[in-house]
Amino acid sequence: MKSKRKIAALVLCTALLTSALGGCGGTQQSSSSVDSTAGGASENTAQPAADGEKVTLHYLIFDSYQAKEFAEMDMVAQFEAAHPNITVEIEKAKDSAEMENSLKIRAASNQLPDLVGNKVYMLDRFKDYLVDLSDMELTGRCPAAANFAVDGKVLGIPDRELREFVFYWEDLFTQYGVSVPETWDEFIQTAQAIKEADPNMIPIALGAKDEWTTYPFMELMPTLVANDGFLWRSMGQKDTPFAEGEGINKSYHMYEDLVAAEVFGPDPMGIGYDQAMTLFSNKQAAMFVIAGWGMDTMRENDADLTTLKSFMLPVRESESDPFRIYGGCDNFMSIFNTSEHIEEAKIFMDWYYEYFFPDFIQKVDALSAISDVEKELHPVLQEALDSRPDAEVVMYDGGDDNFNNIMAETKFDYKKLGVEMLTPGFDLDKRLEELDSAWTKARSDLGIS
Amino acid sequence: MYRLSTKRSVFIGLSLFIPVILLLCFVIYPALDLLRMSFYRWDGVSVEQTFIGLDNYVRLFKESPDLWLSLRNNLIYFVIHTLFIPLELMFAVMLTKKLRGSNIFKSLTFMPYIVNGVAIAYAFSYFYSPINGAFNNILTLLGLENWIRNWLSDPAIVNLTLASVSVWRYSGYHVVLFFAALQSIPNDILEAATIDGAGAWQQFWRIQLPSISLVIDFTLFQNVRGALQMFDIPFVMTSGGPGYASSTFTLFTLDTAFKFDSFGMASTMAIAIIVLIVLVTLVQNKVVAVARRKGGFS
Amino acid sequence: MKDAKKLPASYTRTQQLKKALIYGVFLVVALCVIAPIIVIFFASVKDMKQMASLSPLLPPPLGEWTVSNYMGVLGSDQLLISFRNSAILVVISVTINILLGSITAFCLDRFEFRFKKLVFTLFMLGMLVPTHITEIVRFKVINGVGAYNTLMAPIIIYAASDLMQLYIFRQFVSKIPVSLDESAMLDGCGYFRMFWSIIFPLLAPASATLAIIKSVDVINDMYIPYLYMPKANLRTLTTFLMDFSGQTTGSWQKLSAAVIVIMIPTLLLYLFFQKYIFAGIVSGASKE
Repeated sequence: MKSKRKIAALVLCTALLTSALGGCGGTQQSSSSVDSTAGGASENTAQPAADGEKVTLHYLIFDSYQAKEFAEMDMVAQFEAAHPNITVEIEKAKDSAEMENSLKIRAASNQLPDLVGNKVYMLDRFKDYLVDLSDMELTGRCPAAANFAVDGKVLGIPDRELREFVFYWEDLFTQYGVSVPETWDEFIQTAQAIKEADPNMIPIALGAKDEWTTYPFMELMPTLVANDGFLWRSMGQKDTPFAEGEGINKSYHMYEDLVAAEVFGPDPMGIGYDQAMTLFSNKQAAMFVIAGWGMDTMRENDADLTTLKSFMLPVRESESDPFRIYGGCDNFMSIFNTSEHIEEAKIFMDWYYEYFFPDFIQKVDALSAISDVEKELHPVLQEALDSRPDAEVVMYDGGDDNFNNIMAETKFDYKKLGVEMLTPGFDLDKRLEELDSAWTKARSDLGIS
Repeated sequence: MYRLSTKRSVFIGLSLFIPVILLLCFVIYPALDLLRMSFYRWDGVSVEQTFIGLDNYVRLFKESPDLWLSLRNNLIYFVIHTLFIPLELMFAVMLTKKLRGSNIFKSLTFMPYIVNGVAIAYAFSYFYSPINGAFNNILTLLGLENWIRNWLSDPAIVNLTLASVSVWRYSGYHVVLFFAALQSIPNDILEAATIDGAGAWQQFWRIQLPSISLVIDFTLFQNVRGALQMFDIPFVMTSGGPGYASSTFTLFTLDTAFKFDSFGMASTMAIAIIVLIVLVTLVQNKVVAVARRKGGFS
Repeated sequence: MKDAKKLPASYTRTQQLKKALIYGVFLVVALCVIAPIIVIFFASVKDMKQMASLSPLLPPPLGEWTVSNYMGVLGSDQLLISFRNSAILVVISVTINILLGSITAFCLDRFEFRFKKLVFTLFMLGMLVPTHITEIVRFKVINGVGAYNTLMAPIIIYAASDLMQLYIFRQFVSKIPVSLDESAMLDGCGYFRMFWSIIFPLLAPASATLAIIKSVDVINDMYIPYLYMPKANLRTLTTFLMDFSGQTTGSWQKLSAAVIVIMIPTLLLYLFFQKYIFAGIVSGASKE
């Protein structure tokens, strides 16, 4: 008897496997047996409309802060109380790059979530998969949305408008006798003066082990210098966009000057964002260039913010030049057209922006992207903005298909380049020339005119 | 007899069916598809795949300097690990001396191979950290302050740092392999040699080394594969940075596929690495065979 | 011992010196192995102030150890989920591998049949294909079977692509005398019955070895779960650790605690089943 039972178990196991493998030909059987296995592991596997009318929306986000607030403010429960027939399952990606990768894979296998919080450049990348939201009433309340329309379609509603800041410790500035710089050269001099006054002080903390941390210089500064928020798109139109005289060439040389001043501390490439922020929070560094949400990391580090101040990065050569600052939107909520519950997803979006967002945005160090929701920035940030009434906001856009394709073909990775430029002996002019010739070739290979 | 052999065929057929299908679907077919895709341009998402013949292969050689830089990094892992093999052998010989506590030391040496690789990578990120890092502290303690470097960000050093982590992780594995092979040598042979007046060194060279040559071959082969496929340590500790300074072939290939959406190109690289593994193994086998003949043992 | 007494004093002295030398080497190696782990352990019991003020080589003074870092890790719901997922993967993968591995090894060792050469060559080819890189193609197949973002994906891949079990089982199978199967057959057993009640129990040591080695491999694998199971509630211990490192803003002490916690399951396996692990490693290497 006993051995018979064992054999039965063996047969059962084999049958399970075979049925799973039958799917090699793509049968329906396979996915159901797969689901039953996975179901044992996760309570919330997607089983649309299995129990009555209840619909589950999958909402993929990358923003850790958002995820934390969702949990703390119990967003899902709030929504379910208002809409008992819909539930939302939050999926958290490690970061935006990770999210993009997983979306690519999931697009190929028709496994996309219903809702997503996009980075601006993803709107264009996934434009074939996103629902046009132009006719939603909500779109009318978000003046920036039209700015980021792709082929005339509004593919996502941002929740916040970002600004970049240079955070600094006022007491340290006083101690070293330096003041807020007005031009790029002054910015470099300020950093150098700090270094001279105290060799142990890191003038500007940078955590370049995480490549994305170079974005203020490598991604945003070119648009300011070129005065073109659509710089990436424009570059897709040119054969030699890195040539001398172009905005990107000029701004990368400005960054090169900053690197040459050696003001990022002893080993910027050996530490990540977190460590750099810890240094700044402990006042072991005097400045930090980051968007408003950097303050959140400082709070998590229990930093004493009483002497924290900020100013806008002076990306200009002389005081007679216009003072341009970056403006960008983030966290575009979008709906995938592969979703079986587009209407429910829209209901969620309306609810989110109507009932959840007004409270949520107050906790975020960014401006509100929705016109009828007021948001005052933290005094540290608001002061910096107010002190520059002359600032011209350049609205940044993430680039289009052509640019993305050329970028893939030439492996132009500006954030990585920002790190490479920190390595001793790096030849920027040579690299820009190489990029130009690769760019020309890629454009002709891809048939872009 | 006829009935028996039918039964037999049924048994063989049923037993081998699942493993073979699994192998075909998830190993062999992907490998063949890899070969096919290496002749296409494909971004991994769109339906369209363009046949471009040998273009990817041409570009592999002409326009991918960073790939070759990555391959050089693989070479660094290979060289360092190879240099450690004699040391590992010596350590294994010491373990066979049956001293008190040698079992504990054996267990300890092997432990790094067992613990979670990602956990190890984080532990060493902290160990080599430039700010209040343990390794720099040890150097300071030993009075070697001026040896302090940017371990994880100096392009000239970062690969050595990462290779040291790899050595820490895999050396114990080699030691245990050698140890087991050494133990399988019958004791009386060694005793006979001792009586004949052979010193420890002669014993090692004439008896122990030849008897474990198979395991050494295996270790060398694993070393080639391991070094050419090195992935998780640089992935977690530096993501291949700064720039591509600590990237490896696998890391670069995966970047090409997932970050730059060039699945065709990535397939070409994958084919290249398979060919490379086979080539290096063949050459290595030749070299080992020649060395063995010259060394006078078979 | 008797002989040793007769040996001249100088000989024993060199002997002693050698011994001391060997112990010296042992100690240095042991230190190299332990140092990084000790350092990370010290970090895990420090608070933020101690991290900055104390040398990483020193533990905090007695009585000032903090457990809050561990509370942070152990209190995470994700840890439990990922522990469960890892456990499920281990149990299922190990079972499948033992069943398939043993029966395949048995067939390939015992019988001559028409496609034996072909089947053999296929398995050899399978050994050659590098693992990480093929994933760029394999994920299409996994998608096609509907296994993406389910626990089935790693299970299938572990079952299909790791062929070490074949070597381990074949060694054991070849040591089992053929007369045993024959007498069983004469008693009227079918082939499956014969395999299941005679051969399989004799393979128990190999199965045990494989189970331990496989468990360690599955728990430690990073890439397959990372690539195929991005869903939050499908984290394994390893991918949980990667997530956790993303969330612990700037605090090595919290990450250190997580590192220690994640190390524990395999260390325990190692502590209790060392013998099997060594056996498996060795038989995996002696393929000839």
